[in-house]
Amino acid sequence: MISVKSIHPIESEFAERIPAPTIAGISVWIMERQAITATSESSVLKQIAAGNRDAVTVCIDRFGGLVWSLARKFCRNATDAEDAVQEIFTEIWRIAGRYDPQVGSEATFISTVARRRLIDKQRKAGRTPAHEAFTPATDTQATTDIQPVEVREEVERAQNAMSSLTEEQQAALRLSIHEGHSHSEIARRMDVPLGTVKTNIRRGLLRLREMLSDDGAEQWGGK
Amino acid sequence: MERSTNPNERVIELLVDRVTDGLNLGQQRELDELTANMSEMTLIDDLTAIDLAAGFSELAYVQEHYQPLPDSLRQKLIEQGTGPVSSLLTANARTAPVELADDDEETDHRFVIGPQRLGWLAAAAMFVIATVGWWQNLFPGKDTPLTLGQRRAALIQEASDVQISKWNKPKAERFANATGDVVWSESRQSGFMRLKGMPKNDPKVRQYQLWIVDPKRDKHPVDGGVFDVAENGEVIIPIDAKLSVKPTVFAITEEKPGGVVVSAGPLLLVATLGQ
Repeated sequence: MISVKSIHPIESEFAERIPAPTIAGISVWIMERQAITATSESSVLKQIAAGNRDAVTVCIDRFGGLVWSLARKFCRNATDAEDAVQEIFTEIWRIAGRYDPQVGSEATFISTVARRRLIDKQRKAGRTPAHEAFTPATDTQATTDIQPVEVREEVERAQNAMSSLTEEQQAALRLSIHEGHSHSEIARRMDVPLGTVKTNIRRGLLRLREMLSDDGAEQWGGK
Repeated sequence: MERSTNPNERVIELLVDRVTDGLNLGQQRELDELTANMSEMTLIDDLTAIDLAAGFSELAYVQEHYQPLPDSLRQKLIEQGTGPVSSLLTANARTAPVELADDDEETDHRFVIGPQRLGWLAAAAMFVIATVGWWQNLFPGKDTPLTLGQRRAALIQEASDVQISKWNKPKAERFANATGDVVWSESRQSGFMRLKGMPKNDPKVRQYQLWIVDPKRDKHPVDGGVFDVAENGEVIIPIDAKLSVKPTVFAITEEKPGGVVVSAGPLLLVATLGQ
C-alpha cells in the first residue's frame, strides 16, 4: 500500500529536479516518477478499480479482518455479520476508483465505508450496537500478530492520534464511535451536560481531521 | 454548551452530530437553511473529512476486538469479487444502480425528503461512500438541461472507472487559495475540473489552459483547451480531450488568449490520477 506520506505533491519533486516546472518538462518528470513508484507497492483499491482481479484477493486478505471485526461489533449474530461484510465488500469493489490516497489511508477509507454501512443497517433495524455482547480480546499481542501490517500500522497511527486528545475527548469519542451510544446516553453515563459531550466529540473529531490532513498532503488545509 | 452563533461553526456542529448521533428533523432543516448558500465542494469536503475522522477513530479501537476473517467467508468474498457476477455488477453499475442503492435510499430517506439543498448535503455525505441511488433524487426531469454540477455528478454515478483527484496545493502565491479536483472517466473520455479560489482572468489578456499528460501517447502533453474564470466562487469546467487519452496528470498553465501549442509557463495547478 502506498502510504500517505509517499504521495508527493508534484511541485515538491519539481522543486528538487526542475526548479521552474513547465509543461515541456512534465513528461520527463512523469516517466521518472513512474519508475520510482513502480518499485513500491501501489494502491490495492486503485488496482481493483483498474480491473485487476488478483487485487480483490489481496484486498480481502488485507482488510477482511478489519471489516469482519467491525461487523461483529455492530451485528447481533454471525449471520448478520457475514451478510454485512459481503455488502461492504460489494460496495468497496464498486467505489474503489474513488479512493483518494491524499485524504487518508486505505484502512481509513475501508473503515469509514464499513462504519457508515453498518450504522445504516443498524438504524434501519432500529437497534443499538452489539458491542456489549462482544467479548474483547484478552491477548492483545496475539491479536496484533494476526493483523496485516497495513492495518496494524494504521491502527497504531489512529491510537497515537487518539492519545493526543484530552481524556474527556477520548472518553466521549470512545463511547460514541466505538460503543455507539447516543450523545444523551453519553451525557448520562459521564454525568456531564449534553453540550459538553457534543463539544468534546466535535473537538476530538476536528482534531483527528487535522491530524489526518497533516499526514494527508494537506488536503483539508486552509479550511 | 451554547449553540454557536457563527453559521459556519454551527454547520460543523450539525455535521458532526449527523455523523455521530444522527439529526432530527429540526436539525436537518436548520442545516439545510444554513447551507443554502454554501458551495457543494465545501460541504463535501467538510462532511467527508468528518466521516473519515470518525472512520479513523474507529481504527483506534479495533485492536480490542480484532478477529481474522473466517475462511468460509473469505472464500465467499473472493468468489463474489472475482466471479462472473462481480463483472456483471461492475458493467451494470454504468447504466443502472445496483441493488445496494435501494438500501441506502431507504435507510437515509430522511435526507431525501427534505428540501433540495438537503438532498445535496446527503449526496455530499455519500461522496466517499458513494451511494449510487441518491444521486438520482437530485436530478431534475429529462427535459431540463443538466447543469455542469449535475453532469459531473452523473458522470461520477454512471461511469464505473471514474477517478477523482484533488489539485495539489499550488506553489505560486497568487494561486495559494485555489482548490478543487478533477474527475475523469477514461472509458468515456470525459471529465470535469472543479476550481475554487482561482483568480479571475481577463480573457483579452490571459487565459488558463489545461494540459493532459499521457506519457504513453506522447512525451508532449495534450492540449485540453483554454478556459476562463469569471467568478470568485466555485467553477466547474468540462474537460474536452481532443484526442483519446489515458491521462496520468492534469495541469493548468496561464497563457496568451487562445492558448499555445507548447507551453513554457509554470504549472499553476496539478492533479495526478491513479495514485
